[in-house]
Amino acid sequence: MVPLEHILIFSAAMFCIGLYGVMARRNAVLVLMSIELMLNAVAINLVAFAGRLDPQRFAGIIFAIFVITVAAAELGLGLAIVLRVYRMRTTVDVDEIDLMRW
Amino acid sequence: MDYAWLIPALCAGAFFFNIIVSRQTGRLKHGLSAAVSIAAILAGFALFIVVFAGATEQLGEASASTESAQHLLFDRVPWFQVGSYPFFGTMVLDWVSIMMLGVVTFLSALIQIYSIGYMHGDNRFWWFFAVMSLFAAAMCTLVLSYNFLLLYMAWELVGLCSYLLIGFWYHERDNAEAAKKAFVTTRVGDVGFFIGIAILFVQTGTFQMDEIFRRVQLGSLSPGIVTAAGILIFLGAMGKSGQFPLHVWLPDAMAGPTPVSALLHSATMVAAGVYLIARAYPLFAASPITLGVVATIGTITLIFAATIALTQRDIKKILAYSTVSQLGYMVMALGVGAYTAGLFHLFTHAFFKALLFLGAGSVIHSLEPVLHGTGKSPNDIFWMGGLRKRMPVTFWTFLIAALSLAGIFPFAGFWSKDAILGGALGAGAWLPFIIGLITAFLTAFYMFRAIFLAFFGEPRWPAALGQAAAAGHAVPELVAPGVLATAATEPAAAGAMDVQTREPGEDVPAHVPAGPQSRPEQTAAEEHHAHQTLPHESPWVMALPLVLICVLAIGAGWVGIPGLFNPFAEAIHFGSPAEEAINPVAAGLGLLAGLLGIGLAAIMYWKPLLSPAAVANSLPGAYRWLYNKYYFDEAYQWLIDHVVLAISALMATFDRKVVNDGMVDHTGQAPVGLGARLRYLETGRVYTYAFAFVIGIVVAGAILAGIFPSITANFW
Repeated sequence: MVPLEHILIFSAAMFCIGLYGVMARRNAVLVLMSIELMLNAVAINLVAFAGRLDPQRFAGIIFAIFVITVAAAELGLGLAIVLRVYRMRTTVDVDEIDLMRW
Repeated sequence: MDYAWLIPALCAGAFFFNIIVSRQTGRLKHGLSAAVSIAAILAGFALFIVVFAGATEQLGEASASTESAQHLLFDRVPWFQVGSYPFFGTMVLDWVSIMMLGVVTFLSALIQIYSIGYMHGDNRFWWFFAVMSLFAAAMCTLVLSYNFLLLYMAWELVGLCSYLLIGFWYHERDNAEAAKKAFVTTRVGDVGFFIGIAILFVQTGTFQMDEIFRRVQLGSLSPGIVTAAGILIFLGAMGKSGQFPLHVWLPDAMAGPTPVSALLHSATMVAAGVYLIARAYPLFAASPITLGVVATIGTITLIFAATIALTQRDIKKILAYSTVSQLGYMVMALGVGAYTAGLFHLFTHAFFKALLFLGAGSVIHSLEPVLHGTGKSPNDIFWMGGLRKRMPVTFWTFLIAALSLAGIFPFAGFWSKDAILGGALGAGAWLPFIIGLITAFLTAFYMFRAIFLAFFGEPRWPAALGQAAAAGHAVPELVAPGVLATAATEPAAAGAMDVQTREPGEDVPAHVPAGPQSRPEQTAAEEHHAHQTLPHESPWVMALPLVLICVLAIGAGWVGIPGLFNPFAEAIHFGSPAEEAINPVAAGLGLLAGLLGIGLAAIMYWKPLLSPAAVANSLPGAYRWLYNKYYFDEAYQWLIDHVVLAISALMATFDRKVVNDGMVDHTGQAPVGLGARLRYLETGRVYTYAFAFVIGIVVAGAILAGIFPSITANFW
């Protein structure tokens, strides 16, 4: 069995890559993809802990499935917003979408 | 007793009827308003007789059955409630309030009847009667109330009504100013009155006079409190009754129609102050200091006002200062402990002073058309003269009232004034007694100065017309211009009194319009335009009240003849009844002073043995001080300009700079300014928010891990 530490390090690395993507990328589609990466890192964590700490029940696994479901819905919504923004402003650069600014 | 409350209620009802219904009735409103008001006050007087009869019985029983013989009946009527604390509108009937009720209803009724004639043709005739009704209602409420709160309410209503009536012809600035002055000056005293009531309320927890007086008499209030409350309440009385430093409004109150002056100076308003002292007498009597203050103020006022009256030209101003002086007598009497005498003078004074004012009104009313348009005041006694034959009813009633005021036997004023002088002497108050005697002399002098100038001698209004014509004033068209032209050029008729040389000191710009100083006059001129422009007797609606009041100006004193027939002193007294014997020293000296005063006036103004001009010239400084009323108005004006306005300006600056700019505006501007700076945090860029989000999570995680280490421990 793969040691828990390896999985945690892997998921933490994946989370940080996702975080970096959210912070550094300017393309809205890539930002959305990075968010997916972060969500998946969390899901991996949940599955890993579920197997170790609570083998009889499946709470962690069910949580992971929920995360995937919610992520799918969120992504659908996010892509739709990106599509609308692109139609309106012919760009998906998040730096230029600053309508909410002062 | 049961009907007493109806008297003010009827008058108040008349007021509301007039302002709601009568004013809607178009042309009818004047007649309707007068009819309703007079009906109400006459019904009030009828009710007073019923109440008087009932009270005689009940109070007789009460005094027979109880040792204390308080002569007091009162009803507690629930008025309103604050939380669970009830307030009562208590009504009282004792002889003081019954006496006042009678005076108020009787004089109000007659003065309102008189006003039909005097105010005839005024375009706010209906409003005059409406306010007169409210005035009577307020005064009756004041007289009946046995609760400081109710009394204070009525007190302020009286003040309001006098404001409305003094400023009745408000389109003239002077009248509006006089009304304002009356209102503001009495307000100064009212503040003291209110604080006094508040102190008593805080100390006793009630506005009920019976409870307050009981506690005062039991001594459960500290002497300091009793003195402070007494002096503060006396301040209110000083304002209303025109006592020394607060007297300035009363002579100016002459700006109102003359019936208003008559009412104001006799039964209502100024009587309220003296009545208040009498009503709250247990409070005053409990503190020698308060009584001392009352006596001092009264004594100062009585001589001070009488000296001013010596030199005035305006007949109403003479009467006004006379009122101030007589009120000083009453207050002095109450201050030295002559309770009965003070109220007795209030009672008799109401009649003869009302009569004097109504007589003066009658003169002014008849002289006004004559002098109309000349710029001469019809109030000026130096433009009158010789009215005795033209206005016999007015003359005789005025003369009787003046004799009464001068304290001549057997008129009403004799009995009350000598009761006061005797009371002062009996109390060992020598200074008030001597000043009272001097004032009795002065009173007789200034009243008979007015009578000799107004009713005796040669008519002087033709001179006024001649002056006016020469000075280019508009003269009534009834006067033929040719007649006046000859009047101005012909030499003076023999015996004609030249106003300017008679009393040169009185040549004051405000009163005598610019024109040649010495002017010949022509009595023949009056014969030409005799029928319409000459003074004539007033119509019967004005003459009848004069005669009716005259009866009481003679006879009102006969209910207080010491030792002979004195129901007044038996009914109205504080503590034990006053001494029964007449004081021969006081009575004799008082009478002598009055006769001397009349004599002096006669030799100065009737048979000119002693020239007033010479007297005035020998004491020019004193004359000027008196004529200008000791410069009190100027002093107050200076005080207002330099002190009150300076403080006000300071307050205004504080308000504008600190309260408005600092507190209100700055608290509003602070969030705006903060927001202007903070808004730059909102960049609108996604990564800014994401970064803040991450930082937030890290910090929150650190805090959670720190605060709840057990969670973290168990988790692993």
